Formats: sequence, C-alpha cells, structure tokens
Amino acid sequence: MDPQQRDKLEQQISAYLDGELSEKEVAELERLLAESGEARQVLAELQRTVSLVRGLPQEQPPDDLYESVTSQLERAALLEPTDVGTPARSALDRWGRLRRFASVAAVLVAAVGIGYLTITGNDKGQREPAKQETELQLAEADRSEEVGRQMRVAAAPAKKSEAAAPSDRPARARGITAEQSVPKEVDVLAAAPPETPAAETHLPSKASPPPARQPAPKPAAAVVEHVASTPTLAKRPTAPAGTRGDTTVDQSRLVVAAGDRVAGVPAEVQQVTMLVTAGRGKPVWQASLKLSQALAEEGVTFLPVASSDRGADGRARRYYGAAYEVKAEQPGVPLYRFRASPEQVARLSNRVAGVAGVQVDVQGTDGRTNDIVAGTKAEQRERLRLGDVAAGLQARRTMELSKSVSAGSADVERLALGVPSEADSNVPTDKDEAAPGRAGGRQLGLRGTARPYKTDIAATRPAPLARRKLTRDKDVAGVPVETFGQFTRADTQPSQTAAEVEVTVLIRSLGQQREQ
Amino acid sequence: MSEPEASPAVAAVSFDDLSLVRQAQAGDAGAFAQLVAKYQGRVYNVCLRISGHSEDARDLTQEVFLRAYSSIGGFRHRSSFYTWLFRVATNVAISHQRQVRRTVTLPFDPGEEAQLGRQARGLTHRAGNPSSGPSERLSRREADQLVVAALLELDEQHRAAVVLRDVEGLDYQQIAEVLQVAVGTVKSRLHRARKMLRERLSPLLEIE
Repeated sequence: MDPQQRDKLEQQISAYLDGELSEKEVAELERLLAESGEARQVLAELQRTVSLVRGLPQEQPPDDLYESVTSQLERAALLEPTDVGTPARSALDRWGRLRRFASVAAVLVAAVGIGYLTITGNDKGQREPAKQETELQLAEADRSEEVGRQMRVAAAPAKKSEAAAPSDRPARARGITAEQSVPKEVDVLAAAPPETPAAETHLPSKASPPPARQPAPKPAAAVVEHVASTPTLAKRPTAPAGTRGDTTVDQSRLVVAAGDRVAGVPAEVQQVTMLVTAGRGKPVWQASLKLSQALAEEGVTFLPVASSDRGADGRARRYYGAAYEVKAEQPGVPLYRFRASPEQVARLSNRVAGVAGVQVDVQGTDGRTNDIVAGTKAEQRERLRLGDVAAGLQARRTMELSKSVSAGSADVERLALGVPSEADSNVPTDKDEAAPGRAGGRQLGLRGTARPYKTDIAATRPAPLARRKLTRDKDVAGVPVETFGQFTRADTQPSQTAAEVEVTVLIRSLGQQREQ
Repeated sequence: MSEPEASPAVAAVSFDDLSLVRQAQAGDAGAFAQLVAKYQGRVYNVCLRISGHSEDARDLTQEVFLRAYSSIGGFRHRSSFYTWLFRVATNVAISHQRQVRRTVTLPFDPGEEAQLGRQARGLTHRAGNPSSGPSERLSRREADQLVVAALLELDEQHRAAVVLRDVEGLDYQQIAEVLQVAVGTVKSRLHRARKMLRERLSPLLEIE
C-alpha cells in the first residue's frame, strides 16, 4: 500500500471510528479490513489512540468558577460603559422596540376586535378571554419603558428565587469594579435563597413598592437603619474631593465585607466576602501581606477583583503581590476579595488589624442584597459611583459604628472579640499577631450550646478589637463603640458549627461622614 | 471486526436552553446564569484541553461566558446554543493560545524519546495487569498526562477538532459549525490530528 493509499485508508478509518461514513463506505471499508492485515493494524492503532483521548477524565471546574463568572456578568450587566458588552441593554433596547411594536399591533388588534364585536355582537363569552388579553397588552404597552426596565431588572433575582436555581451552586453574584473603586455586593444574577422569605428581600415590585428611605440617623448614635430599596440618589451630594466611596483616602484601610450566601448550607449560614481597600500613604501592603499569609493558612480562595486589578498579563491571582503595590498608590481601589467563613473573617481581621496604620472594617450584608437592582440602570450606576452600593445592598446598616452582638454560643462571641477560649488555645488574639502561624488552618469549633442570647458588647464587656479600631479610626472619633460584627442566628443547631454565626453589616456611610 | 466506538455522550439539547436563551436575550441575567451553571463544566473542559492549563482554562471560561453574554443578542438560533457557545469557546481558547505562545509544562521532558518509550511501555505493562489496583490508577493518570502532552503538541486547529470530537463528543457537522469549516475539513483535520497523536503515543499503543 503506497503512502497516499494508506493516508486515504487512515482517513476513512478515522471517520469510520466516528460513525461518519455512509453505509456504502462502511461496507467497502469493512470488506477491506477483512482482507488486509495492514488495514486492521491501522484500525487497531487508531482505535487505541481515540480511546486514550476519549478516556481523559472530565475535569471538574473550580468551585468558585460559577461565582466568578456570574460576578463578572453582573458587573457587565450593571455597568454599561465597561469593557465587556452590555447585552442587557441591547436586549432591553430591542425589547423596548418590540414593546412599542406590540403596542401598535395591540391597538390595531383591539380596534379590529372591538369593531368586529360591535358588528356581530355574537360569541361574546367566547371572545372575552381574547379581549381581556388585548386589554392586558394595552395596559402593558401603556407602561413606560423605564418602568418596564425597572421591573425586569428587579424581577431577575426574584424569578431566580422562585425558580429554584441550580441547587448545588449559589446563584450569587458580586461585583467590584476598579472603575468605581467602591466596594459593593451585588446580586443581580443571584437568587435569594429559598429560605429567605420574599417579604424580606425588599424587592421593588408592582405589588409592594419599595419602602421609602428612612432619614439618616444622627451622628454618634448607634443606629441600625433599614435601607430603602430605591434611595433618592439624585439628592445625594457628589463625593467631595479626597473621598471616594466609603473610603477615606488619607488613611489606609481594609474593608471587610461579609454576607455571601453559600451553596449547600442553610440560609442562615453566611459566608463572608472580605473586600480589601487600600488607602494612600500607608503601608497597606504590610497588611495585605499579613492578610495573604493568613489567607494561605486558612486555605481561603482568592478572587480577582476586576480585570484592571490584574497584572500586566491579566492574571491577578499570580501577581497579586504586585497588585498590592500598584493599588496602594490608588486610594480607594479594592485590592482583592475572597471568601471566608465568618470565623475565618474574625481571625483574619483580628490579625490584619494589628498592622500599624491600617484600619480594618467589617461590612456585610444579611443576604438581602437585591436592593442593588432597584431602580433604573442609571440609578444603579449612580449608586455605584457614589459608593452607596454597600448601603444599598444591605437591609441593615449602621450609620455609626456600633456594637451589637448576639451569638449562639460563647465560642462565637469569644471569637468575635478575639478573646482566647480556654478550650481552644488556637483562637487568635491580639497576641497572636506576633505568631501568625498559630491560627492557621484550623477551623474553630463553634460547638457548644445553641442557647441564644443577646448582649450589648459596648455596655457589658470590653471588646479589644473594637476598642482598637475605634482608637484608630479618626473618622469616627467620639463614637463610643465600634463593632466587629453582629452575630445572630438563634435557630441554628449545635451541630451546624458553621451555621452559628452571621456577620452582618456595620458600615459607616460617606454621607454621614460629610454631615459630621 | 470492531464496531465503531460509541462517541462520548453528546450534549442533549434541552428545551430549556431555548427559553433560557430567549430570556437572556430579553435581559434576564438570571437566565443566562443558569446557562452558565449548565455549561460551565463543558466549556471549562474544552478550554482546559485546548489551553492545557487549568488556570488558563478558568480565565478562558470566564471570558467565554462574558463574550457569550455580550453577544447573545446576536444569537439567531440558527444553531443550537451549545454549538454557538462552543464556537465562542474554541475561538477564545485558540486565540488565547496563539497570543500566549506559552511554553507548555510537560510532565516529562518531551525531548527524551527513550524515556518516554520506557515510561509508556511501563504504563502499558502495568495497565495490562489486572491485579494492579492503585498502581493501575497511577498508570492511568500518567498515561493521561502523556495524552494531554501529546494533545498540546498539536496545533490549535487540530487540537480543537480532536477536543470537540473526542472530549466533547460533537459530530462532524457540529464541529464544522463550531469551527466554521467544511465537514470535509473536519474529517481531514481529525485524521491528521489522530495520525500525529498515534505517532506521538506509539509507545502507549504497543500491544503486548
């Protein structure tokens, strides 16, 4: 068999193995295979080759891939003038045109239908549904496109929650953009977990309009405010020079956001997203380094914040060390974020808080993050630009730093306060700053009684971490107490060790700062 | 006479895709997120096999879905969604490979044919031993590494054809749609690719 013939034979055998030959070709080839040992040898080798390739295992994608993708998608959807496309906008535009077309068509249909009914006067009962449908179309068409857009935007997560999103993956999305340089927690693509009552999502809807924004609390008062779904953004003053978002640029700062939902765990369980924001002129890299060490010890996964946060080759994860330095010169730019359990956040925050000149804040959400999608896209963008995202996302926030802790176990509280437990010497404390390796890797057991109780830490006991933060945070000087986190969940079971704490939001708003 | 091998499970086109795509085109990001959840594994594997790096595959998968999201408005349902999505994926992965031109980290020195031969023969021997348990699994893993290394030596177009056919299980027509080439070209590329793979993996193919 000459090389050309052999090549042709191999090609036929290759297609034969794929079942891509016609019946006639198959018959011819099989006749040849029966006659030629060389052909059978080729077949055997090709079969083995194909088997080896097809035998390659299907690799599982990284656990956080879905979250990472949806986070990017959410940003693309919310922030139109970005490098990624804006299908939502184009889709909406098209949808708008379709709606306008539909409205005209509906009017014509209605006119014809009414005329026909007037003339015939028959079969009214049978035509009633069609008429009702037409009326619905007309009513729908009468709505402004803006209203429709709002509802669609707001409906996205609501639909998802009703439709039982992929059960093994948190329909969750977050967004941080270097362009806005503000921390935010967004849940456009995400579903409120089914355990979350719909009434608590504060989703604006036709049936239940969003609540009005409550007046800002007075300064220096430990007030928890329920954030309105659609704040009047137009009345908010633009961030003055020197400030950006909720971050003061003359002070290095690590902002820790908490509150992401976790797949496969009860709704009351919250994982935590820590959002690190660098200030100017302070050795934030020291804190970052310290934090990265702690993260490595905790086995916490890093996530890139945004493409602009990546290195020159676009690979932030491999070059985050460099990113620290770069971002340290850009005040207010989120450096990176990662997921951690609440107890991990407690440990991590405790450690980085020991770095001189760096402030650690804990933000968070209670999971009701749908507020961000309220309003028009323009409002959303404005909200992002003004750094109001965190507030907009959270169902609760404090206008002043405060302390409110309730816990399902004493261990949780000890952990939050950095007080070492007698039973667990690995609980990190301030003293552990000198020995960062001590806290690494070990999941603190939050076992114990599930006896719920509430306590005002500010009033009843010292809180080393809180005190330290208070003394360092010049922006809130005079505020009597600062909180590390709020722990709730009286209903968790003792065995659900990871479910016993929920870090909730404690955030100081920029607006409040300006008022001060 | 051997029967043609059954191809890997071809993606079942779910009717859900159609509605989800339409919802996504109407601006429902949640619907697109469901598509992401559904196809991320397959897209990741395509990117992984073409790029050869898990980290690259992760980045590329993100890029694929971002591009798909940004251009889903232009999807006209002339092909199935997953075919369209794989087209995006292969384009992104191939483009990335061409740009990066990164040196592939192989589990062995590809220049040492003798070593490869010894290694592969050892794998063949151990794999053929039914009594070997853990060692067989180890051999399988090592054999997989060799196959991956051989795949990465193919040029991007041939590699993509093999991945789409033998990893993803697409038929020639679907591969042609994804790669936007003629079916005959697919057939030719697969043939050439397999020929190269066969030569590269010849030590593994030795039948004792």
